[in-house]
Amino acid sequence: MNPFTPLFLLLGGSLASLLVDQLLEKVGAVKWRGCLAACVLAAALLLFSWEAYHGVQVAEFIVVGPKSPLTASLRLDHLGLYFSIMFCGLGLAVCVYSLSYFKSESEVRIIDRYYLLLLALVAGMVGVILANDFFTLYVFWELMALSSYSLVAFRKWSWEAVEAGFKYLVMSVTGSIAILFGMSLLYGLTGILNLTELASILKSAEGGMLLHVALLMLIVGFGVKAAIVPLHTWLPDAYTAAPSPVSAIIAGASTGLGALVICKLLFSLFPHLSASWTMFFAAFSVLNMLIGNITGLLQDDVKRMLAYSSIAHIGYIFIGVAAGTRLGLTGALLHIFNHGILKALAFLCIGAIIYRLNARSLSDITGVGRKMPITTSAFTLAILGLIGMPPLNGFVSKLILFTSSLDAGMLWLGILLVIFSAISTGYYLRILKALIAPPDERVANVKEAPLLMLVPMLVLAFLVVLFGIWPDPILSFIESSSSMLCGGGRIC
Amino acid sequence: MNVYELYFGTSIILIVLGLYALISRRNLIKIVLGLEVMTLGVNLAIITMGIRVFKGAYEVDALAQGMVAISMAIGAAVAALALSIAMNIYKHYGTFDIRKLRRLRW
Amino acid sequence: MIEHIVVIAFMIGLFILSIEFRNLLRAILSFAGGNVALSAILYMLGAPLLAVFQLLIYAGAVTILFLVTIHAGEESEEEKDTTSAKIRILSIILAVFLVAVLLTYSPRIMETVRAPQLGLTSLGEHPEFLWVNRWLDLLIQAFIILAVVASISVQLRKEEREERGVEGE
Repeated sequence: MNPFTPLFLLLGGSLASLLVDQLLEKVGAVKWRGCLAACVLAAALLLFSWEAYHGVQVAEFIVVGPKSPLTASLRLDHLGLYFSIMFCGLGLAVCVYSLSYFKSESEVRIIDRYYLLLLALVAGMVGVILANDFFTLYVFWELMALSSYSLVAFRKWSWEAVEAGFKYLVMSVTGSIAILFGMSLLYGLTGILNLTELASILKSAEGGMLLHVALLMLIVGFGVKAAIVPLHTWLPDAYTAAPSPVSAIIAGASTGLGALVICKLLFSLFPHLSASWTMFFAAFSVLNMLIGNITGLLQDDVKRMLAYSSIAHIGYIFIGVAAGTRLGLTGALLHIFNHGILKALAFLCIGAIIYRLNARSLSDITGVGRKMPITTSAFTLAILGLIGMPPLNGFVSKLILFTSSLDAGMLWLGILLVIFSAISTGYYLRILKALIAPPDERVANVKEAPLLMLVPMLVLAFLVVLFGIWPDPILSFIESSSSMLCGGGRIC
Repeated sequence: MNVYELYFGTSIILIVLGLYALISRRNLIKIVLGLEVMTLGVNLAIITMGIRVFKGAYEVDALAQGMVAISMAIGAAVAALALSIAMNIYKHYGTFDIRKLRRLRW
Repeated sequence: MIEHIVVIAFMIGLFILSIEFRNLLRAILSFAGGNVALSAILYMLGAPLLAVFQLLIYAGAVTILFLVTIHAGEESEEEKDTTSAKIRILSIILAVFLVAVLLTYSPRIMETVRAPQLGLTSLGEHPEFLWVNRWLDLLIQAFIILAVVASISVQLRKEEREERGVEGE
């Protein structure tokens, strides 16, 4: 399968969705807006899954045009395919959820542009992971980032959203500048931008200081989006202030994409510098876990708590990167996937509670669990998965991360993983306790969430349980991607 | 000092200048101006890496020119979006000053 | 070489002025002047097409965008009041230090640059280079512009009255 097909489907679908929704608005059938966007996402998901089912033929790189290293190219390998499925799947869940989430007049009026931005976001993410050329990766990254700035600042009447959106924009653009600077250094050294060619050239290049500076700039640039600690300050404000479906896709997919691109670049372009970056990532994973968990304990607002827990989970992911081995990379990639599903599910559930109740602090949502049983059970599964309870998927990836830290001789990182997971139960279980407390009169006439919001939550909850008790297909896919990134066992 | 070092140094000065504007200015417009200056600095860095001497005059590699052309367009788009958010902030608060917006906790 | 240094000094001076001016209108005019200087630099370096783009996009469209935003604010065009002197001096020291460190290391960074592995291409010999080889980037660029247009229309939509949606304050 040509990877251009689903990519163009997503891009063309975003434009078509805008036009069709405006047409529907003229005709008067406003309830059907956004359905074309959901269909486009489902079609892209089906195309990717079909390819995965039939086994992936990994080509060197795929171009339309002259096949030279100067051409913008895509590459369909296990890593790209696997995570494209995840991004399209999360996008579909969020799109179906948004069909009934937005009810205020001011938002419904511009819902056609919301679906355009959502599809552009998913198209950008799929393009980043499929890109084989550094500048193409940067352009897709910018597409993803620019779509998300306005989605975060969607509620323009709320001071919180607009200020969070501006802060997010400033920090993210600074990160993009750092990415371009690192890319220009690599271009200056080699003269080409093709990732597969760069990987083979850099193995034998005498880069010296230039490679170290380029590596630092790339880590800082992608680390702004991936919430590495000194650069994470935009994250709690942006996740809290965005509408809940937007928080779900940004927390689940976009932050994970930042960590994913860092993994991909580190292991394929800079494997011989691994002595430097493993120590670096060990230090930063400890900082992430520390700040994420300790600050999470102090929060009262549930969405802010979930945002800090994202920072902590990025810390767990970097334990796998710090190990520097193939097992560590497997653990990191698997945890990016599992954390994406869990965090998106958690944000969708809290969104349903906010939809019914208009409140999101712990004291305000007390007792709502008895009135919204399906939402609360899905939320419970998400929280237990984030803690790392055994039959759920969070446990599998944390186990692999722990084993990889043992394997690489960094037992202290593994022990910190366990300790911080235990500390994190402190705030996760507070949410559960608030939900299942006896209801008071404030929540007396709260009904269950609408069907279109329940279906994505139930599907994601089912996946959480499924990948916990049967991780084999996902694990084999991840193992083939990590072995390909590691160059077939030659490097790590 | 050859042409590469001269222009690399210039681009570093521009990037740090933009960063300084970002950190120390209070007016939203000046912050966006800082973002734009940083973008110009990194565009100059990309061009520097593509310079070579061709028949006695300087010429920049085609790939670098392509990268900078697209990066310029992206920079202008980002400026437009940032300024529209800034206009939004002005409409709701009546000021462009970020100190007055500090209501978000850490 | 001397003409390069003169134009670079002009450009950096104009950009520093654009950040330091308190009157916003003068700041934006000096920003436009700095972009004209940068366009001259691009021309001298042998990228005349990019010099034209620089003038069109930056000294043209972006400057106009800034001017429109300033005039949306009906207050006087002054930046309200200065940052405290301590923070300014601290950030100036930090900036100068950062520049000094980077400039001393830049020869070591740059010494490996002048050995490209692949033959570079010249735009004069292959004028349709961008379209043939990099059409994917240009296509995504078009979608970026579309997404930004949609984002700006989301941001600047008219509100009839104060809306209080689901998570409003």
